Order: sequence, then C-alpha cells, then structure tokens
Amino acid sequence: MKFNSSQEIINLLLVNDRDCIQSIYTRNLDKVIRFVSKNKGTPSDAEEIFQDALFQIIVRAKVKGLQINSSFDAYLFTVCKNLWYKELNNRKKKVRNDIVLELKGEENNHIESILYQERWDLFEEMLQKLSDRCRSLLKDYFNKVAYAKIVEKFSFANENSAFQGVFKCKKKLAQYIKEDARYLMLK
Amino acid sequence: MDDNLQYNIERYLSGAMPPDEVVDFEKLVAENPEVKKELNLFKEINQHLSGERDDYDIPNSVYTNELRSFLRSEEAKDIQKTIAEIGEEQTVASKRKGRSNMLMVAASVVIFLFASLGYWFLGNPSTDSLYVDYYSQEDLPSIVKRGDDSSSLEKGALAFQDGNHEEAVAYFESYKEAGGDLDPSVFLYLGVAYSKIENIEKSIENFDAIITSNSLDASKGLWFKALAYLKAGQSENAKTILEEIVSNPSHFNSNKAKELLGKLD
Repeated sequence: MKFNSSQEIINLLLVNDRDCIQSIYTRNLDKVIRFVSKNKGTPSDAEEIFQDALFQIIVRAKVKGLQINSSFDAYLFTVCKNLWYKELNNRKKKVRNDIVLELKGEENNHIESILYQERWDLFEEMLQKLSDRCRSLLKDYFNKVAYAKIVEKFSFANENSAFQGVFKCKKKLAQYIKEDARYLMLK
Repeated sequence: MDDNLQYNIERYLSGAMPPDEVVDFEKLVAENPEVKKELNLFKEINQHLSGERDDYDIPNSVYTNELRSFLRSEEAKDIQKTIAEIGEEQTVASKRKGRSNMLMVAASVVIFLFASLGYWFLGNPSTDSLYVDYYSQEDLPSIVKRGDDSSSLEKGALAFQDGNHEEAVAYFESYKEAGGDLDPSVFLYLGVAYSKIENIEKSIENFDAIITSNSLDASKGLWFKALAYLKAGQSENAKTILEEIVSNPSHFNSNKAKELLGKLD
C-alpha cells in the first residue's frame, strides 16, 4: 500500500482503515522492536508501545486535527521513542522504593503522553526558529561541554559572557514558545 | 516578563544564585503565579534540551477534557480494538515468517557451499566485502542509559543507530570531553564511527584506548580494530590483529577471527 503524504495516511486512520493500519505495522514494527530491544526492552514491550503510539496519534487527529510535517513513519518512530523513554523513566521510579507510584490509569497515561508529545513537537519546532549559532550553543551547553571550550568555540570574552549567551538563546526560545497558540492549549 | 526576572530564573535553575538570594527568590515564586509559570517554562526548556523526562500534572483544560471524553467513547475503544487485532495478526504472521526463515537459512547454507567453491576458483574476495560480511552492529555492547550525565552518550548512540556517524562522533566526543566516569563502550562506538567516516587514525586511537583498559569489552576492541583495518584496505595490519585474537581463544570472536584470517591469507 503506497501513500503520497502523511495527511493521506491520517485521513485513512480517521476512518479506522484496516489496510492502512496493517501497512503501518508492516513498515514500522520491526524498527521499533529493534530500538526497544536495544534499550532494555523486549519485543512485547515494543508491540505495546507501538500500539499506544498509533492509538494516540489517531486520538489527536480525531480530537483537534493533526498535521505532520515529516513523513508519517518518521513521526510515528519519534512518538514510539518518546513513549519508550517515558516507560523507562517509570520503571526507574518503581525501582527507587522511596517513591510510591500512583496508579494513573490508562486514560491519564494516554493524556499525559499526548500532552508530552505535543509539547515536544512544539519545542522542537521553535528550536528550528533559532539561529544556527544559538542552536549549536544550546546543544553544546546541554551536552555538558566545558565552559572553557564553549568560550573558545563561540569566541566569547569569558565564561560569564558564555553564560549570558546561553541565557539569551533560551530567552528567545521561551519567547517563541509563549507566542505560539499551542503552548496555551497545553497549559 | 522583565529581563532581570528571567535572568534570575536562569541563575536559580543553573545553580549560579547564591543561597541567601535563593530564599528570597523562592518566596517570590511562591507568591507570584506569573513568575512560577515563567520558571516552569524555563524548566521545561531545560528538560527538553537535556533529554530529561519528567511527569507533568495534567491540566484541567478544555483540551484535556475533550481528550478524556473521546478516550471514553465507543469509537476510541473500537480504534484500540482494531489496532490490537492487527497487532495480533502481525505477530502470528511474523512467527510464521520466522519458521520460513529457517528454510531460508538451510537454503543459504547450500548457497554458501557453492559460493565457497566459487571463491576457490575465482580468488580472494575484497577486504571491503569481508568487512561487510563480518561487521555486525549487534556485537557492540548496549550503552543507552537515561540520566543527567549520559544524555550526550545516549544521543550519540541513537545517532549511531540511525547511521548518522558524523553526528554520533560529535556527541561521543562531547561526552568524553565532559570527563567523569566514562562508559568504556564509548571508545568502541567512537572507533567504529570514525572507521565508518573513514578516519582510520582516530578509529585506531579509540580502539587502543579500550584495548588497554580493564573493560570487559577490551577484547571486542581488538575485533573491531581488525575490522577497521579491513575496511581501510589495510589487510596486513588486520591480519596482525586477527592473529592476536586467535592466539587467545577467550578473546571475543576468536573463531571468527580464525576464519577471517583464513580468507585473507
């Protein structure tokens, strides 16, 4: 089954088209299984994540419409990765016995994951609006590159100016995020 | 939101604010919902950029209520059912495929025997094709971890997995630069990634770092070093390393090394 665009796939998902769902499985499930298996999970964890990701995409499309700017398959893979990281995080919390995990229920889990993914999409999109220099500076800063290296690479006068530089980029990012109508919807 | 306040938020979150100021700042946050909102946004930005994942409270908004009522609908249950049913069918189909793969393996053995005969008649295969035959990403240890210190390591592993070796190198190098307790596997990944982007010197340098370490994966370093030489067309160097692997049966892939050595001679 061949599709021309992500929108075409979403339209078929909106009418619960079995062939479309089947072809999504065929094209993508193995990749998700490989990813989860390499990241402390099992194939059945991957199948569960895959089903949740696909379901949440359809729910979002139904409730408020969904536009995917990349390929559908790439987007689905991103959603699966984020869901799997969330699951790993939950498992880590369960291991730490000082935290009593509240049983959230399936409905809240879906809502939480949907909101997380939408926030993730928004932040990624706004990051692309920043200058190359800002993106690269933030990337190095959050990858814990030493300040001294950052000063040299970005020709800052000293570490304090590097700190100011990071701050300005974050401030710009915060401004873009706040200006976007989607941010209010997620609050 | 004024600049000074945002600057203080940044100082507060990065730990650059002195303790006496922290007390006043936290009081300000507690008393002022707007400041709290701004602080939360900066926190979310930090979490997004560092790849951390935290749970958020679900807001009681029109949108979440719409999501909730749809999730409770019969339509949502039908969608979930269809997805699960197709998932079930796919699993059964893939098990069947697994069985037919066994037949494929049997067929491959026959093909391999013929190919081996062809090899004896047609001469040695190229070092490149041997590299393709013997290199397996599965032989690399899993290094993906989630946490503050390992985000560049993790990002590197993901880029590597997606075949973006240049990007992987950049992440791994910044992970190394950050210092602290390094996961020794990063040297293996860097060695392979550099070899993929045809920087044999850096590749060997990283393999040597793991080979001389106390890591359990030290002997994997030997195996991948041999493969890197093979990929670079340096078969004599590859042979030297393979001989070293063969000399100790407890070395990783010692049998494969012997087999590969036979093909290079």
